Amino acid sequence: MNTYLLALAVVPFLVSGRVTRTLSTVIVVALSLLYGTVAFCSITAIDLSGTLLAGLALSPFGALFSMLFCVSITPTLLVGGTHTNSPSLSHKVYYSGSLLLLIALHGLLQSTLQSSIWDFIFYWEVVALSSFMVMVYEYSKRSFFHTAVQYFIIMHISLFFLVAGFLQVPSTPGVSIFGVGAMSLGTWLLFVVGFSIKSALFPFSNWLPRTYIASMNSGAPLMACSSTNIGVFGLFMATKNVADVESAAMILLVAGAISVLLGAFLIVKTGSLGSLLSYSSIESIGMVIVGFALFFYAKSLGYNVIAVMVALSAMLKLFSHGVAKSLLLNIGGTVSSIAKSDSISKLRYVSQNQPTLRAGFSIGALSMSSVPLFGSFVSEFLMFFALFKGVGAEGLSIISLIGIIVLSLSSSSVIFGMTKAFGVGFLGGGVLKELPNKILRYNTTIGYVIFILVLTIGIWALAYLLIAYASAFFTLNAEGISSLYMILLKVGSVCLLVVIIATGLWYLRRCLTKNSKRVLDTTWSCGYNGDSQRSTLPTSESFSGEANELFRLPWHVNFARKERMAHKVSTTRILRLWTTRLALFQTGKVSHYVMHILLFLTAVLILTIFDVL
Amino acid sequence: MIALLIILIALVLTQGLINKTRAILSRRRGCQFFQAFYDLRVLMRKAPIYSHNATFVTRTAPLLSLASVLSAMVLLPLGGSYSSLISFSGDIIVFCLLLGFSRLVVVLAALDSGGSFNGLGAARSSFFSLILEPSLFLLLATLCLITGYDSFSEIFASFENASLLLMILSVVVCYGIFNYALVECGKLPYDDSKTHLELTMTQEAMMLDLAGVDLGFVKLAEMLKLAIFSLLVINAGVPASVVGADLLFIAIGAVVVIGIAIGFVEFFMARTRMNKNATYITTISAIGILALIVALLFKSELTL
Repeated sequence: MNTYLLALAVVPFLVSGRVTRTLSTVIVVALSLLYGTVAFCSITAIDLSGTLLAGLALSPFGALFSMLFCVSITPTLLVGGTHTNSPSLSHKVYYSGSLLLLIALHGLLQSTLQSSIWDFIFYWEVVALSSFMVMVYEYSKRSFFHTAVQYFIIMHISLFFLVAGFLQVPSTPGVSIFGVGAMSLGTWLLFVVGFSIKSALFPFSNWLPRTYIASMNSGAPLMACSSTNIGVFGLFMATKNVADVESAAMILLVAGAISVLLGAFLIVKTGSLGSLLSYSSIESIGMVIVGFALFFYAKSLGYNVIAVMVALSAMLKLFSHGVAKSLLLNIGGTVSSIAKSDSISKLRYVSQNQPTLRAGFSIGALSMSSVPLFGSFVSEFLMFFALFKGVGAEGLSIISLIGIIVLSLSSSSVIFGMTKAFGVGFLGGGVLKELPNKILRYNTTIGYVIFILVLTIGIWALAYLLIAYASAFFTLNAEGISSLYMILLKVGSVCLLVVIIATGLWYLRRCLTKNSKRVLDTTWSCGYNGDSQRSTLPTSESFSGEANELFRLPWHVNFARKERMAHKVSTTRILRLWTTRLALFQTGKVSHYVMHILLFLTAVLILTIFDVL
Repeated sequence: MIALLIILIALVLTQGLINKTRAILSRRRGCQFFQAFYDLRVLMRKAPIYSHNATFVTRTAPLLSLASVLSAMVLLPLGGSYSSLISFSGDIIVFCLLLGFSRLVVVLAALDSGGSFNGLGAARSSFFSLILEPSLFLLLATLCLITGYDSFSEIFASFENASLLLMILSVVVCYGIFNYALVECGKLPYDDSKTHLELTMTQEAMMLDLAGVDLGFVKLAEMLKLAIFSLLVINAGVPASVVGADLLFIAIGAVVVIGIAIGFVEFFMARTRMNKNATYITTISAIGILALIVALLFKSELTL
């Protein structure tokens, strides 16, 4: 069925014109609606046989991912290829690029069908090849071409591991390519390596930053919203069938947590927009994997409510990340291709007279920062909620404690990174150079389309997931569903309260100042940042200055040569070295003692865990 | 409603008490008790001035900042007897996220001005909130672990900290929240709101470009935050068995004590050097971890 629909989407490309873009997008949106319907029907036991939708009958989870692919590829289709500086090339690039995107989408959708192993491998290859083609289609530097080739090779390494995994699993055609029985941990590890490469999970995340920088406007949105998600889908399906679920969940949990921390750490340090967005993707995918790993772990311990909450949080994160990141990459790619640099500090010179781009980027950045009303806010709330519940649960306490620290650090790092990207790159005026007046004709629409998508996706997708999935797929009873629904309703009401109060305050401000004239004039800092060549504007380097100072890598710290050369090992020497290293934190006397107590307690805790005490 | 009333009392008293304590300790007469509110009244009468760089961010940030603080306010109860206006399971998380949002919009407004000092303040504030964020979550998770609930109203209704162990833990949590409040509201030793030197500012540097009603809203949000944290400290310190008029008297007394305590801190402590602020804040997070680890270790003795 989806083959026919995608073939229909190709038809508008035969006639060149403005309607082409809109028509193909409408068809993909229709496809996503169809998948939504199929997903709903497949779990509510509505029989689709004999209907037109019979060909789309998937597993509930597969249908959900298919919908995710369609929804998140839509903005890329709508805007892709329009940023190029050469008007004569623009249409050719756009049409060919969009066709490749549609082929990639087709591959992704077929991969989720899982009819047979060879079908899966064939469509996996289609996705890899079309992604490679999208990347090389408009490369501007030779190094970008090399990056695309590297990507192609890496995807085939991933395929090698998957084929090795599939050969170990006795599959039943038409049922599941991951096998019907329990999978051994060794076989599962083969799948994990294969799918982790695709989803850019630690330690296989190296390729993502390079790829994002090389094709920020075309290939990267495809990877952010779809390609990495198929890896997550595969990881979930493989883990579902493993025999030793607890060990598998623990491995995924560790890999996910390291991904989150690595992404969060690098977001703070980087000054390039492409890198920042890629590290943010690594962090988000890590968080999704943590969510799913916690789902399996909590479920194996019998904590059904916690399991459902983390699973829902992970699903929502996938949705909101896909849509918001494709918007950020499209706009970021557009601006940086004109600025001829992806340094955040240089973007503001292009973005100054582009209010639509600025509004669009602000929406994406706020969505990624988990601001109230956006989808990722609900996702973050659910994750924290589950972890807070998990602190008191037997067997989950330590994991939840670490989870709270990791999640709070990562969420504040993402806020820091997005503030840097939006605040430094798109706000604050600056020395104006010659600017192109019309960068994107179609972006006026895309800003608002995405705005609506990102805003509503949190509420509607969640309601959909809760009502439909929690009962059938995540095995939660009706009471659990209704209590979760009520909590989310109240969270929504608090978010709405913020909007209502802000509106009231806006009216109050209007009343208070109705007799005085609003002035557009030189303010305090204008003395320092007028349109002068000597002005000193905040840069990404200055923004991260304090953080870079603190987050020094160990090999950047110079210990005294004397210490390094010391050969004698004695208790006093060890204590002295220990104190010297702790003194690097410059905590002061009281804090120094607090830190010692803390370290002592941590040691006690670790010894207690291992039953030494 | 009573909880809101206590927050309003804290809002009115705290600023005056801080100023008066500082003045008395330095043998000065000091400004008037309600000077902060006279300043606010002046600001509310003035129309805002926007720079040529200002976008929708500057215009909406003060509204959103105050609105999110006001929304967070309705989630707090007073002890076990006076519940909050809105209460649900997990409201503590929404509370933290709303306060984070309030900070974020002010940072964006500062960057919108494009000023170098505003940018400096925004960078510092963003970075410090990055390392500060885990502490509040950890401190609140400690309360969740002890009581077994995840809503403010339920936690403080069952937080009976009469035993010695719980009292010690309660003091640690209160100390952590108190320090968090000092950082969040730009008080000494983390930040000196009275300084005239832009290079040493953090919170104030972000407001340099704001004027009139907008500045008034942001200042009010900051004052409200201090009042909210005062109530949080009271809730974490007072046993759940104290109810009715006793609770009200203790709460008002505690507000006075907190105001004087901040005054003392502001008088006796100098602002820490900017490069040591990060470690000062990390220590607050360490207190949070300490509290949670202690609670985990002695879970069987502490669980209510």
